[in-house]
Amino acid sequence: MAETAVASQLTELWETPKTLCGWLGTVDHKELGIRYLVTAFLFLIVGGVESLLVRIQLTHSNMNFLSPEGYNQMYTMHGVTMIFWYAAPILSGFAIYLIPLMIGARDLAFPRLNAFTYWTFLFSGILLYISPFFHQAPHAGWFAYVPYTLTEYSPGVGMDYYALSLILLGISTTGAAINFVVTIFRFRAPGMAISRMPLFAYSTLTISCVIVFAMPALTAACIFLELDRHWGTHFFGIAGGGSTFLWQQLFWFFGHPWVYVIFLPATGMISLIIPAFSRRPVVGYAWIAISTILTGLVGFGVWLHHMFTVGMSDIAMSIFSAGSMTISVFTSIQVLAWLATIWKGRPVATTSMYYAVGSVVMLVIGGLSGVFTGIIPVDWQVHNTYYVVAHIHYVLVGSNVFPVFAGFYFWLPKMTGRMMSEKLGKLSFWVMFIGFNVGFFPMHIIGLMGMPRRIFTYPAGLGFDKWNMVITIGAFVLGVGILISIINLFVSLRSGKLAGPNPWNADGLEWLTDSPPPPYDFEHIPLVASRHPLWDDYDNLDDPDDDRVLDGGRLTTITTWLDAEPIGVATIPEDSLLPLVMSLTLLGFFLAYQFHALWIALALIILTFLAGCAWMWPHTEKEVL
Amino acid sequence: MKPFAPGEISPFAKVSSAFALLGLAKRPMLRRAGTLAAFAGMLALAGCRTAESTFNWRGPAAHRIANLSWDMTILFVVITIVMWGLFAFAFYRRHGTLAEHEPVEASGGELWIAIGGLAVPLLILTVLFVAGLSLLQAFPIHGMPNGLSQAQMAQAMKPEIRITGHQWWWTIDYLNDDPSKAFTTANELHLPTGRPINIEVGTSDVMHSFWIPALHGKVDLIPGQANYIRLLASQTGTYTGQCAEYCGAEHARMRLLAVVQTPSEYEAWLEDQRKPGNAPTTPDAQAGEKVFTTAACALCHTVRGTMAHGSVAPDLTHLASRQMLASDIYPNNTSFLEAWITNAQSLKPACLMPDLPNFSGQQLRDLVAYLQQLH
Repeated sequence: MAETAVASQLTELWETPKTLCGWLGTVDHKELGIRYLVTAFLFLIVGGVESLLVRIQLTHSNMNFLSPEGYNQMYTMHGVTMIFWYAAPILSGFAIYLIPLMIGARDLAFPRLNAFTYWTFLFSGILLYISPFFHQAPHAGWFAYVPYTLTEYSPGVGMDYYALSLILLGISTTGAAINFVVTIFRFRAPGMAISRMPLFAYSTLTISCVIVFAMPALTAACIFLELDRHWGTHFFGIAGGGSTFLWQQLFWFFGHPWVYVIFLPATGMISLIIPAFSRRPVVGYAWIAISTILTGLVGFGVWLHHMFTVGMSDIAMSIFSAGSMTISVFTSIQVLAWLATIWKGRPVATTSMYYAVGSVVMLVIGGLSGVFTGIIPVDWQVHNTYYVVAHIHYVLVGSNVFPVFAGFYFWLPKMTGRMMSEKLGKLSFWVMFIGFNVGFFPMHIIGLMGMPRRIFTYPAGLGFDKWNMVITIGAFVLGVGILISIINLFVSLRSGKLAGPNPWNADGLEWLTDSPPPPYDFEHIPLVASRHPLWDDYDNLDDPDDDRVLDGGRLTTITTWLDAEPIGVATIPEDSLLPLVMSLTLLGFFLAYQFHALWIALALIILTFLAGCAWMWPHTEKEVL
Repeated sequence: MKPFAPGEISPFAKVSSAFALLGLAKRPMLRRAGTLAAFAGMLALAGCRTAESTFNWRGPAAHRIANLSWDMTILFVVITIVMWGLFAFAFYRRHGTLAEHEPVEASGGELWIAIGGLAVPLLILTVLFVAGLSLLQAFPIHGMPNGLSQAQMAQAMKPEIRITGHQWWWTIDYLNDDPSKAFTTANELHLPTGRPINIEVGTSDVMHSFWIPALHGKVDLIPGQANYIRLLASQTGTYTGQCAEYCGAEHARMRLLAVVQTPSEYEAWLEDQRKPGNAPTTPDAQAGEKVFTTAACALCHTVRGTMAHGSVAPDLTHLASRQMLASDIYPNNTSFLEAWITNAQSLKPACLMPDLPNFSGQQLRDLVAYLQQLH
């Protein structure tokens, strides 16, 4: 597209200067989205390497590759990294980059909050990864049951870093969730009524609401843990009148909704990718949207199924078992909607489509094994065995990792402006798909054979050896598959074919603008007349009088939350270093606390508050005429 | 409760093996389906032949659960194959191009969702849920219901055995209204066939989980709460179990042995275990007893009938009658006993048993001689 006068005016308004200060202070959702994606992907690699070390230790009975304590720290870090620092942030990355483009806005509702949540996410990960340098990483699994995590049994600093970094991450996650809710409700382009919203926006909206209600439980649990560990309270220790169950209830009240947080946005991505490559509108849009919302809601009514063996009343267990059954119906509705979409469409075999379909067929297995564990007496046998490990990996790799790869192959051309190699992509898919199934399917079998999870070794003669060997091989093959895609990315960045605005001839608004999009996303705020703006006959950019250029400042439209009638114009704040400063002082506070420099901690929390004041201080925007 | 004969297969499993016969059919499609069914059956069967498998049931609870698991596994394998087939067929049956797309008004297909996504899953899930509930009724594990105190619960359940978890071993108390008939042992649970035994489980430190896959599902050991499980074994034999709730560094090696005996053997075993530890008769063993009671051993271990009354470590009154050492990790023989006494920290790092390297060779031999006559 030729640079018009309007475009250069907008560029001047929106562009971040290419200086260090500009880089540190940017609030551009595209830049921050990519940073989220890159950071979360690095955590995937770190967590993946940890899992391979775990797998080497388990290859044979009685291996001595890792010490027992070393193994326990390693599997804990694998779980914590993957679940908290990879799975959710990578989806946030997609949402931060794509949601404004998909709904025709120029940024998120709170761009500085967006910068703050990115830095806080990064710093919380760094905080977590300080602990291994003391050889005292967290060592109690990702759900860190008390009383093992109290100082009596875990005197090291590992559990402190676990609790503190999760509190810090919780701040980031909550901020991002609020940002999504407001953006999706208020920044949709005129005409994008809630019934025309992309399904990815539905799932992001749902999980953002879930986060707002679920996250406080985890934050409270972590604060209680820290208070119990160092400040003499008795939330959890039974000697002081505390309760072992309190941690479990708080953790799983957060924990199970969280499973949907790292699952629903990925299904939302599939609900865009499968129709785009089936070359037809998705079958059952309303079914999927309602299922998504209900999954988020009912997700709050299933958490006790993690605790069927702790000794509860039959009626409590039955209610939560029924809840767990119900929620699987919502997933099967989505799966059938995707199947019908492919069936009724004319599929195009792209890499992205391979990953999307691959993820769904694995989700079928993960969903069914979930039903298996939802039947209470059966769960008594498979609970805490490798069957559960198989289940969570089929669900999380099936409905997070594979959709994320589908998303990368679909949207990277938009982000980088260059196409990825389809040949390498399909090779990567098959290697990953085969590696994953070879690596994880046998876990069902050894689980039923009685192999518990979280054991650093097992005796010979129980029949576990040969399966574990197969699993380890599969895990490495999966790693190779991921590596091929990383190579593909670098090849594409160097010499990929130019993508153009809409390489897939897809239907979403994000394909309306250049690849990569200009700093202001859209030259004209688009108008929307259907669920598939680029497939209908309506010209979204038709704006002969330049009414929707909005170049009187950093502006974007505000619309009503249901029908998306335009009601005003929002001013997007300028780049600022304050979010970074505030995030740094917050990290400093946690570090100072951890190193018992309480006066410094106090000073830093005051500084954090002051940075917040400076951030919020009323000021006049730069006038542009 | 009628014990089931081992090897009995659920009706559903029988149907599926009939399915596998399709492998012999002439039509290629059918043959392929048959091969797949047979393969799935083999996969599942592969899980059946080991001591610790959940399918290797030796009691009605584990049996009924295994049956339901079988049925669900077969059903789910069939669903998976159907779904994978449908996706593959949908994907390959026709192709489009990126240049074209259906009109945005294209509709239809909702029936797929209503039937395949809603009706069929609801039906299957309801059946499974009810099956699960009936099993739950038949073989419950119990926590403490509202409104009952620990004492009232113990009264109601009348446990015969109390199992207490520790990092990383088990105390097993055989309870009796007559205190002279109660005794304590460790790491080796004995049960009679044919009679349900109520067991109370608890923990002295962190959470653990008691699990003998051949007999029943698992029940957690929770600080401050007693839980109850009823075990009924239908066949004699030795079954292994394992702590199934992560409990620290040596969680993996917190194992357990369950020895199921005929009622008469069991009564005889109880009789034996109630006796105090054998008084040593040979000079070696007598010297060994002196070492045991005067050295550090007696601070932690108990041998009834001697000065050793320690309570933080396994009761050794009848150590020689047990098959394994260190909670079912090492065989109970001379060399492992010696190694355990001198080098416990390398055999099971981080356990409470310290390395005791300062015994002379003679002292060590005496000590082992003493322990080995504690039948």
